[in-house]
Amino acid sequence: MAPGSTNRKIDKLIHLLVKNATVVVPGPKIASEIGVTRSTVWTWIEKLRSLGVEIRGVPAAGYRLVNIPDLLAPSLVRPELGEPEIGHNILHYFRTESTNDVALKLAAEGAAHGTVVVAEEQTAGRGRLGRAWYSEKSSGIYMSVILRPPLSPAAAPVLTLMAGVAVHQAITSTTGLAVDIRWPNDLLVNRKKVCGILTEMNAELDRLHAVVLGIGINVNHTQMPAELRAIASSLRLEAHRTVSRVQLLVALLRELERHYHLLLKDGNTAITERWAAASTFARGKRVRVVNAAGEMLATTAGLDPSGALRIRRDDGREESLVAGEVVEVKVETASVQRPRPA
Amino acid sequence: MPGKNSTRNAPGPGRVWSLEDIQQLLDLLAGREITEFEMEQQGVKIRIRRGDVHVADPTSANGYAPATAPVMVTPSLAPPGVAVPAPTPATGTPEPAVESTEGLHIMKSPIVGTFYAAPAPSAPPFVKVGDTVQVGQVLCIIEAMKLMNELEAEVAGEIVRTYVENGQPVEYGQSLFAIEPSHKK
Repeated sequence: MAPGSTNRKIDKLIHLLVKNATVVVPGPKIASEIGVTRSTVWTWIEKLRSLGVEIRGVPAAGYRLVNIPDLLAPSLVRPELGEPEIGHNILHYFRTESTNDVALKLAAEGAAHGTVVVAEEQTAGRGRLGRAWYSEKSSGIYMSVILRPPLSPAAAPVLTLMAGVAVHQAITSTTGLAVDIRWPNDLLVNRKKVCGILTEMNAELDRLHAVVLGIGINVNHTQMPAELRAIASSLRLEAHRTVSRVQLLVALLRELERHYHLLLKDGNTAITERWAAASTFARGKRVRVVNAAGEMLATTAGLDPSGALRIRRDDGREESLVAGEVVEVKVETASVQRPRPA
Repeated sequence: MPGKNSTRNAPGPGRVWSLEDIQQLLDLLAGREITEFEMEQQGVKIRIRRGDVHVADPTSANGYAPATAPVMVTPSLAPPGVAVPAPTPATGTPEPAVESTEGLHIMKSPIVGTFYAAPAPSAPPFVKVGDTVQVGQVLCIIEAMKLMNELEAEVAGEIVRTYVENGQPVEYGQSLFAIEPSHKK
């Protein structure tokens, strides 16, 4: 069903090593338990080592895991989730072009609600409007979730805020960092972006087929590419310690499950209230609004029930921002940049 | 929309909508708790919307409550009042009052958002007038709150008209493209 996804037997190998983490597991035992040849075991062990998993080979004895690996392997994640809707089925890729592309294709082929696609590396990670998402190997969480919500297409955009709130909770509880949400759903730490969410929907006028939430989190990047350094960071760079990707992914899937059901049960305000409580962008923030119509300066004034951002222009008029970006404007520079009368 | 909504003089086959017809419709709707009304008949589409509604009641979960102040949904929308998206009947001209879309398949926006004609600012548009499209082919992207909706053609045929420009805000149900179905005689 999912070409290119990680062989489930590799997942079994990881599981076997983790289960016997303190002992040396003989190669032939591994080979027979997962049903492959000893040379395949050796090839896969090498592959895992190339991803940073420390496995000690003991001559004539077998293999021993040095540390619990921080791979987003379904065998490490799935048992932590109980019986969820989101994450009941997790497809893992060592490398793929874009998890959203994989998920959209799976959704078109009928993949179930709650299916999760996760990759150690993306070679063509995508952002909004054709922008690229930097997806360093084994350093981030690159994940897409297929949702089939009982919502009309017109009511679906609030799912993007729901995802933002869920990531906010997961990062906060896992790292203790102070996380901010920039409307609609960029996650910032110390004003730098650590997570981006690209949501894609397949719908007809009155019928929603599927929504794919694509979530990219910069977790253990030790440095960001030069061109991104001023605007983006990783959790490790901000927390000054390594963050367990497995732990973060488990927390994230749980929070997505929780907030998704909150939305369906209690409606949009369950999400917009949590969003507003978690974001400094909700009210009174001086921002530059950038959308297809151009740019302007404004002050934020809460969310409307759909999740659109209320903004107050300098001429006093208020409106709801449905699409576009907001960028924080430092107040000192705002007075200099105030537009001249036309 | 036959039956309940029609009156004896209502436009029907062979008759086009006049200003009087629209006035009659407005009278019919006036004083009722209808904030938005849309109908399509014989390829003519009428949409009437009241300008001072749709205000968020922050205490309700999903719902909307009566307004205390007007809300601009997006910049550059039509002013509050009556909106008739198709060309309005010109006074004193006997020409067909409303451009016909009969036989055409109109692709409409499923969400309120921003219309993008291309996948990226530097990329060529997905489609242009004169292009032949297949069912499922992507025609545009509508964005709302970073939810990207790739709108796919519901019928195969030729794009004969586009109604909106790249970057323009669009409403729910707003016409985006007219497709002349290829199977049509």
